[in-house]
Amino acid sequence: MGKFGKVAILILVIVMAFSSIAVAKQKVVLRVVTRTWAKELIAYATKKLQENHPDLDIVVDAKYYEYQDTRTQLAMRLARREPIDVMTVDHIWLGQFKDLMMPIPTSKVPHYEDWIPAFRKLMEKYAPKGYTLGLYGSTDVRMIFWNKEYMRKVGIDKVYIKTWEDVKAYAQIIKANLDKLPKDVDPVGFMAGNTEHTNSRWYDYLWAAGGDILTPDEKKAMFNKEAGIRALEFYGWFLKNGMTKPEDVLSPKNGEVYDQAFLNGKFVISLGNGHWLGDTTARNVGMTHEEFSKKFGAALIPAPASGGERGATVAGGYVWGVSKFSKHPDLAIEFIYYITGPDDWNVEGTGKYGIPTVKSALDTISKLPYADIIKQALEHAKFRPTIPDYPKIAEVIRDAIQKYVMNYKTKSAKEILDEAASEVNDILSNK
Amino acid sequence: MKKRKWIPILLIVPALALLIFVMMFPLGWAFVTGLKSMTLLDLMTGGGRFTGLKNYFKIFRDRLFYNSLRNSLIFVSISVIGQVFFGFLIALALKNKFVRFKSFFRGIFLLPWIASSVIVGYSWIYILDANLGFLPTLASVSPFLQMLGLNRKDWLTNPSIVIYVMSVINIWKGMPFSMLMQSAGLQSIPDTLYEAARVDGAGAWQRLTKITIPLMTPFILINLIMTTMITFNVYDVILVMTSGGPNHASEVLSLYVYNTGFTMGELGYASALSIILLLVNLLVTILYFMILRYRERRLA
Repeated sequence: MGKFGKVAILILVIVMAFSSIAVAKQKVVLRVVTRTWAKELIAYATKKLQENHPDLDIVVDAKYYEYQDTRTQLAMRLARREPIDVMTVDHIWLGQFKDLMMPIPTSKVPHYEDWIPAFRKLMEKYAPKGYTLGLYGSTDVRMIFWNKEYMRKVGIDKVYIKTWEDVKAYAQIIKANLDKLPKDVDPVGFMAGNTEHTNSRWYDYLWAAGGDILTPDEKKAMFNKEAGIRALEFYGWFLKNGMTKPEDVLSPKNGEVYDQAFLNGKFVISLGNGHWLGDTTARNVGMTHEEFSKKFGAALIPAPASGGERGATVAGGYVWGVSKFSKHPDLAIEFIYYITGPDDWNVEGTGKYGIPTVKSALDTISKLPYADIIKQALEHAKFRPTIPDYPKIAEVIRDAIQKYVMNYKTKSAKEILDEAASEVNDILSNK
Repeated sequence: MKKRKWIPILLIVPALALLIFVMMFPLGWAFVTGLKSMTLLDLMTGGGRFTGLKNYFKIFRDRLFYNSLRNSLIFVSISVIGQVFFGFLIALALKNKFVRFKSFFRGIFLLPWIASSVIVGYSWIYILDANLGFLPTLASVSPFLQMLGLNRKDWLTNPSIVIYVMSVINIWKGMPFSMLMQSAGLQSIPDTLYEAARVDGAGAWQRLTKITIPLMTPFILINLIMTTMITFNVYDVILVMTSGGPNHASEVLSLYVYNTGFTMGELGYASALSIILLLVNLLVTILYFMILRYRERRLA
């Protein structure tokens, strides 16, 4: 090859090298800190993001954690100013993380008006006007459930639960016929284990009796007023009358274990489970929606015979936000939109299950067992306080519920709730 | 020659640096944080204000601190005595010439120690839990277990017994460490001493009390110190099994520090608590060393 040929090859090589650099996609790493259950959602949003940005090579570096670890990991990483792009925050942690979340202009979120106003209000609580702190993913509601097979065995074919008195009446019939049920079954169960699930399921009864956790300005405890006492005494009635045992309600490590115990036939009536019992929990044990509906019945959370609000329920769920240290905020906003937004609700593989927080997808509730009851419960859904002190307050209230379960023979509900309220007031006044 | 003097200093620099970064820096940070009012939120936003000894004064008014201290004392006392005692017994048994398959048994006995705390915790939940455990189920149909008083369901939920249950589980988990330490001690006792004693007509009990125990005392004391320090800091098995419940009945001091810091988000207060935990540990260690030194002086 002559000199000219060598120069031509060299030029060709240089041109090829430069052109390959030009066509190479820009690599973008999106850092996500989220819950273990979000794997499907992350995969779905990654796929959508990549499809919408073919010019980018998007790598999602997602870290998955269990409940408590998610909060700790977020706190540690954000303290180190780690450039996390997307973060999953339980809505009760909003107060703690509000300063680390980037306010998102609502104009940048497609179909923002589609979110149910109550959820929009919560997301905007700590954000400047025209902004939101994040996008609310799916939510959940709680209901009262019973085991239909057991009910039939004790001679009850149709169950109508509207008031607390109804529950007590059924519990008495079950107790009188316990010999017809497997050994060790309790007529009634409720969650009193060592996690916040104990609180959230008790709040349903507190609200049903017309009470609240804190005063409207969130400056003082209110759970020790008459409604709180009635709600705790309602639990106590089942203990005092041998309808359940302290060890059976104290032992579940968390709400999931309690749900599992109920599905396994530990209790005939369960005072409170999330709607997910008939969906994800049942699915995990290989039970279809139809099988679940056949075996278990459900109703709105009952109210006391006089006054109160039937169907009162905690609304749970997570807010997906963009961290203040995000290096790709626009991509992160788009990413969380795919996770939470109205597109592809209840389509297999997206991970979008449960109760949507967007109006246009509410019809998908119809696919869930006891959809009508879920829809009614959603109208009564309430949020727990989102103030930074809530995790501390929750601990005190949980302790009070446990203390009552352990000492119901010697201490009154009022005495225990008053002690707890005094502690909560100290926390709120920063003593 | 002058150059050589620097070599030992250079050699300890990596270890010293590691000690400073891994031990002294976090300890110093914990001490400084303990003097601040600092929450998880403050940690993230760089906030937290200096409050001097306020956190320490608060500790002395905190009923949950006294509750966790009491639980720690019960947990550590039972665990340490149990681990050292059973460790000694098993080490002694494994030294016996009539015992066969010693390596096999040593391996089996080590299993609880090498298993992760999460696995140990969940294993015991599946044994004791009121709803999931097989012991309550088995005991409800077994007259033998009922005769032994094991037909109860509230192992993990009865506030009067849960800390004792946790202590027994910790004995089971930590005992192999004592067994290993004391096996090493037993190996150091020359067989000739036993042979001489046997010739002099000493029985098994006399050989144990006059030879084995006196010669093992330094090993037992070191074992006591180490086990005490380790046990004071144990929280993982309890966290997995009861999270300190019900109603703080199984919450030991180290778990209280964890819960205060990571569940309640009170980092300043948790740091002050951890300094108190360190002081308790130091106090116990100093006490043991004084006993050890007193014994050495007496022997000398």
